Amino acid sequence: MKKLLFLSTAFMLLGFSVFAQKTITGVVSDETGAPLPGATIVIDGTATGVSTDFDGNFSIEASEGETLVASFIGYASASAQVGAEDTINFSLSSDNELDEIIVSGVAGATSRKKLSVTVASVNADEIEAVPASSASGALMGKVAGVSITNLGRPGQGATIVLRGATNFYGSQEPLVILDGVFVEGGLGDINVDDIASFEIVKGASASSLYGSRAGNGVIVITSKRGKIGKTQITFRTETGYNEITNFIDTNQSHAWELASDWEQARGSYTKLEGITYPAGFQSVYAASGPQQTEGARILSEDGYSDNPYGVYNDFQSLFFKKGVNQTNYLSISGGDEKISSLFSFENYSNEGVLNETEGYKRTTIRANIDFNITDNLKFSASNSFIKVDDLAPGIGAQGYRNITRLSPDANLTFDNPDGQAYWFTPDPHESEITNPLYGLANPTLGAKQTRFLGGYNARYNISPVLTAELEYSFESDNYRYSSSSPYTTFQINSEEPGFGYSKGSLYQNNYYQLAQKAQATLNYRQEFGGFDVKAKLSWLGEDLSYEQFSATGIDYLYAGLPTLDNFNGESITATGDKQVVRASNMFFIAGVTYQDKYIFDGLVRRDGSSQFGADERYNNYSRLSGAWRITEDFDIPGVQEMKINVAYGTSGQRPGFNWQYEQVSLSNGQLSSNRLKGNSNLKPSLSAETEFGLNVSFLNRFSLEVAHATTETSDQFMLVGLFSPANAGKNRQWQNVGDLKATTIEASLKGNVLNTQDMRWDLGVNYASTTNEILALNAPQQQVGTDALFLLKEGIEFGTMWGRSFVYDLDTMAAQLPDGASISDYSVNADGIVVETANIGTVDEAAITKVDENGVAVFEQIGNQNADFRVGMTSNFTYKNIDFYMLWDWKQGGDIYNRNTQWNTISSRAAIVDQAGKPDNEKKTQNYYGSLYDVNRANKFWVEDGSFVKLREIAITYNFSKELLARTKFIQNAKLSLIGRNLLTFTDYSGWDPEVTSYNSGTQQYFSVDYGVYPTQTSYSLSLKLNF
Amino acid sequence: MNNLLRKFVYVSLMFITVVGCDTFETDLEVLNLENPNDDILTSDPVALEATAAGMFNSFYMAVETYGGPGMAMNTMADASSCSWGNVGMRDLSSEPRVAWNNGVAYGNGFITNDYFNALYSSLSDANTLALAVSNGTEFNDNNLINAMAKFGQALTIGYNALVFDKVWLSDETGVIGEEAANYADAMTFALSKLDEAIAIANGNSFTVPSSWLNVGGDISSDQLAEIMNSYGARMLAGNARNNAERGATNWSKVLTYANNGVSSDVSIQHDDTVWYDLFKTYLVFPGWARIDIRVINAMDNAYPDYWPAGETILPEATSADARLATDFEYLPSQNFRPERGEYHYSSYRYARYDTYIAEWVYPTVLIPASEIEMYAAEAKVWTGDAAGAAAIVNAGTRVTRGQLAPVGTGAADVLAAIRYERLVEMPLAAMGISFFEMRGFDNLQAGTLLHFPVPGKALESIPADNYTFGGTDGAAGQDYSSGGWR
Repeated sequence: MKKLLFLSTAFMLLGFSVFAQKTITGVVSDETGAPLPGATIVIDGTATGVSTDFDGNFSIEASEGETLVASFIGYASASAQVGAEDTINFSLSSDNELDEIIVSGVAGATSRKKLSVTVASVNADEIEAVPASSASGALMGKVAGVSITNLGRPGQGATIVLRGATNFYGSQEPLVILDGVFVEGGLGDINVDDIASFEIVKGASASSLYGSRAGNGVIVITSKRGKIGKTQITFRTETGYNEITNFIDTNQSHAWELASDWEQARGSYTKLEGITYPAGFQSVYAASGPQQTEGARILSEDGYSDNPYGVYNDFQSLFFKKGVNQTNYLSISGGDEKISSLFSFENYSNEGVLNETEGYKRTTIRANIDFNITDNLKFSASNSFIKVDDLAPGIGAQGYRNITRLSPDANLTFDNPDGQAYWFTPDPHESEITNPLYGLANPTLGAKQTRFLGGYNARYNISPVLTAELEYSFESDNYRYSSSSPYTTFQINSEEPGFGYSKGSLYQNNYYQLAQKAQATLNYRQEFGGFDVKAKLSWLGEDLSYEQFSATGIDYLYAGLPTLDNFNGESITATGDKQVVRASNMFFIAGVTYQDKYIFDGLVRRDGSSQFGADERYNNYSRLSGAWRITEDFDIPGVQEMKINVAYGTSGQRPGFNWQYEQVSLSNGQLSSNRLKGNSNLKPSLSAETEFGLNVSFLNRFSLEVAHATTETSDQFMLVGLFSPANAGKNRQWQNVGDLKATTIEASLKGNVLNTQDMRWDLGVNYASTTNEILALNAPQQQVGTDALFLLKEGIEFGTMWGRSFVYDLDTMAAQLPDGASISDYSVNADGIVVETANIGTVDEAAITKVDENGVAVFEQIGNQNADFRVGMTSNFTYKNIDFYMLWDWKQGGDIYNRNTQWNTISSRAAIVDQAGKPDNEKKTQNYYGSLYDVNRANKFWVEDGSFVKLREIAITYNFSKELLARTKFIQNAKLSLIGRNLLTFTDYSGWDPEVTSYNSGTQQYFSVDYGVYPTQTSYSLSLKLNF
Repeated sequence: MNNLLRKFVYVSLMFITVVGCDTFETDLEVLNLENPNDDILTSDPVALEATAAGMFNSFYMAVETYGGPGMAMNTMADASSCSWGNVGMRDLSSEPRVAWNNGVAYGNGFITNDYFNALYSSLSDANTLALAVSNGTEFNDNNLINAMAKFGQALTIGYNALVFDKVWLSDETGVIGEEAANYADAMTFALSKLDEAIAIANGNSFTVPSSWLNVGGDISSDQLAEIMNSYGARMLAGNARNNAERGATNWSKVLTYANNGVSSDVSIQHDDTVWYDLFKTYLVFPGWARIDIRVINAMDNAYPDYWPAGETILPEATSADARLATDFEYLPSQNFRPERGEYHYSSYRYARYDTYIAEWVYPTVLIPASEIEMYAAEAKVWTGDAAGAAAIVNAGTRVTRGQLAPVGTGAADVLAAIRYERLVEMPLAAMGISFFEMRGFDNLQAGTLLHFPVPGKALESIPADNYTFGGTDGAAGQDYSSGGWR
């Protein structure tokens, strides 16, 4: 705090001077001289701005030395410095990527064509065609090197990875900054209607400015603000529905002997030989009571799963529903020369696609206000309040599996003995499968959350070249979760009919997190002798506090009272957590442009963090970059702009809060027996990136951006095993142990293919491919991630799956023949698996496990979750008043481990087990498929290609004509859109959707393992947007 | 100028107000107040006493857990049967028996690794407590703390010796020996610590607070001594790897322990939060493991002791032993899969803990009195007092619960009756006891490991070469069974 006071006081003591302001007038027009009504004129680096009138005229108060920036959607921005003259006219040319202004990761606002690092940007018009449900998904497919995977469940957002992986352990997600606020609570709750622009600072070189939190890159989001001019009202409403369009195929046959009179029970249940059925049997499981069967199923003589069921039900149709989603957005903005403001309100709801589940509701209120207190003193406030009601599914991960694990004759809708809906154990022969619909219907659970994001900025122009800035921002996150299973919630036990009341439970979890940031900055900008110099000296402090407590009560005393008072005292337990994270960082950055063509940039940064080990409290970061605008020195026919750049910079990731401390974890009053040793030498990981880039604007229509980036992240965090007898019983320690190298090649091409009076067609294509190699690991190899499927080992690719394999070729089989066997006894079967020839088609046919020279099952690479490449393609075609927009998203490669299907093979429900309709000589037995199950161990057989091509977004928009709207006297613009999301998916993946990612809390990362994943949905909606 | 200065000062003050000292801190020396640090844990008497209070719970939860070796050991002992792959049950009970996969990549490796680490963490706590006492730290009752410390040392080293081939010894004086001790020497060391603990309890009078052992209220130092003696009998009798070693066991010492052990069942009062028993839970939960029909065959000799090929279900058994009806439940259907081996099939489950798996906040037995009685009886058999042994058997659960006729006094009959009681009365009473019984009589199926190797991950962290036992790995009869009940 002392440092903060010092800096604030220092700024106050700096000399002030008064600058004469004057009125600048002018006209903004296009290349043909036609006026551009509604264009924006702002004073660079401020929130001060005006809009042009219907004749393109503007008038603005500005001081000499300030820079005016004129911009208009679809046109490249233009700027001019205020000099002695009182009139400045702007002529804007059609949009050119290279003319955008970038403010993130650089010393000051910089035209893209003068950038020496790679920063991508996405503006409001690029996300408004098909507004995403939250900011987390808005960039999907739109930016090269930005990999986004939907998390499916409404409100959960998406995972975002910029370029390659940088961490063995710890999140791969970028730092997100919204109006100066470090967004700690994720983008899943941030609405897109309020967003003016994204800037994506992809690599460590560009993100060096953000230091020890920026190893994964940075996304800087700017929200919309009020503009000088008359009050503008925007209203948008969207209503649609979501659904699952691809159900998983399951085995619709069985291998059990049918009773001779099975046809008589057809329509009610499947009558099997060996089983005695009670009268009125409802095709459910009961261990005792009126629904209990006796006896055991008899495997049919041939062992083939090709016998029919007596009843066929479609469980996925019962499990999933068409869920409604709705968005209503209203904003009011305007201002004068002293104050401008924007107020917005959004209501968003999404039921999701799970039956018996209400889904996610969000209300957002935003108030952005800008004060021009004096000519040189500005104050901006950005306030966003978000209220969320997230009524989550009542099932855990197993529920998603069980819905495809049930035999077709299971009865999900039969009432329980006490009248509750959905018989608890619905599969007649599976005692442990509980009814997923019962799971969805019974617990009452949900989260209520409020978040407030506030960013406040005071800026004072000390002199024409020097500006002082003070900034404070915070995010307040208040979360309350409650999950109540009523007294009458069933559990499997030995009561009749095999389940009984659990007496219920209540779990309540609360946390409050306050993340604050304070920053004091001196900005310098001066042009002299052909040099344009920008510099920034800044101190940045962070203070985050987190407090959590939860309480659990088991066995309600009184039914129907979901309160913690409704338990015996000894039946209630409570836990808590408290974390404080602080940082104190200084940085200096300078950027120099000489003669508008030679660009240099350098920065140094020193970060101190409470998360670093006590002996490594401060760490340093730096960057050097340069660019050359070749076309400023050479004329290249057809090329308007060509720039190359090279950059080297470092940034990092901080350790977790409690990784450094020499402590023993305490829970419920008991010391943990799984203990970590502290590490006072724990450092942040260090990402060093070298980037080469090329930017070309050519044929007056196209812009091309290519970058090659190599990032080596050293001092990787890893939880390393210790020998507990020699370490006071402590068996693991967080250490800095390895180096990870990510190499990315990315390119994006945008262009105007067609531009006539009535038609315009813009196309954009982006491409990125990344490889991730573990260069060094100074610790034993380690299995990590979901189901420990992924390996950390020197020399291998990060993100590869490792496990067992069957024998797939005879050469391999020849090398592991059992004693006395001959290779001629074996052959490759129809599934491509080596089996004993004599056993093919019999109950003895079985896959053979590949073994090493010692006869031990191999442990080898069985898959790779990393995509070979990703391509996004946008097309925006306009004909008169109609816009037709599409976004295609192509992911090539990237394997998925299909745990759902493997695990369902335990019940013979995987579709491959179904032999009905196969010629007899091609049939295989249930036993054979049981061998493929391999006791659910990680096995190559269950790895599938996750490639897909998706029609990610599509919209057909009708823009109502000005003439028509003029009759209303009050509506300025109106457009009606038919919107589709994920309408088409082309994939070979056999699950619901190839967009699969599951969270692993051990590594805090996401992995492509399909188990318990809420599937990504298709949605259709109608949107109406009006401007008044 | 003054006007501007005033406004700028005003804004700055606003800023400073918002970022007031109370709400924004920049001190980077942040404490983690969620957990006790090592300084506190080794020096603060209050913290040390809290550690002593949790000592037995840490041991119990390490042993009676899902993630330990207990469930697999029950299936290796053919007391339970399960074809599900969880916690190594299927792998280790597959036929023919195979070697334990001690590779670091093995998915069930945690069942030895977690157990190993948990016991060494508890041993470290026990050593810290004993050191504090020897250094003169003042506790409310130093005898109580010292007894718990020595008891903790004995349990953690003893249970490592029961399960692994070797143990790294340490106590309050530091590391004992330059190399790991073999299981026999380790048990000797553990029992020396146990004897010290028993002597402290016998020589002093103190009260062990209810929550420390959680066996139903406060217990006296005498009652603690009974429990410690019971563990002494269990560990010493169970440590033999084969029948020869069992015969060579110091049975007079076992008898002393047993005679001074508990005389009625001692049960843990589970609260389903800090105290729970997942070992029993998953061996009895409907849909999980079943009881091996070898146990049913013991009660009904007409019943097969091994699943008949081609059968999917067997009829109900009948028995003169009343416990067939009270402790076991007939299952008229089969839920294991044939391709995993029909030998896993069973038509019975153990039903004695059904109230526990419905209520959860409910006691289950920690030390059955019958178990201790059978150690005493077996000690008498080994020491030539078959009649005395028969008297113990006939006064126990064979008659009281089983309602069976008293056994005669022939040594073979009495030993058979003792082993019958273990099989029928206590097949799931505590982690390991069925396995220890079977290995001590060379009854584990051929190829079954007799003890686990040091966990692969622990070996890797030393680092040391990996090794394993089972199948044909190790020495026959020493590391893996060369005999078998069938």
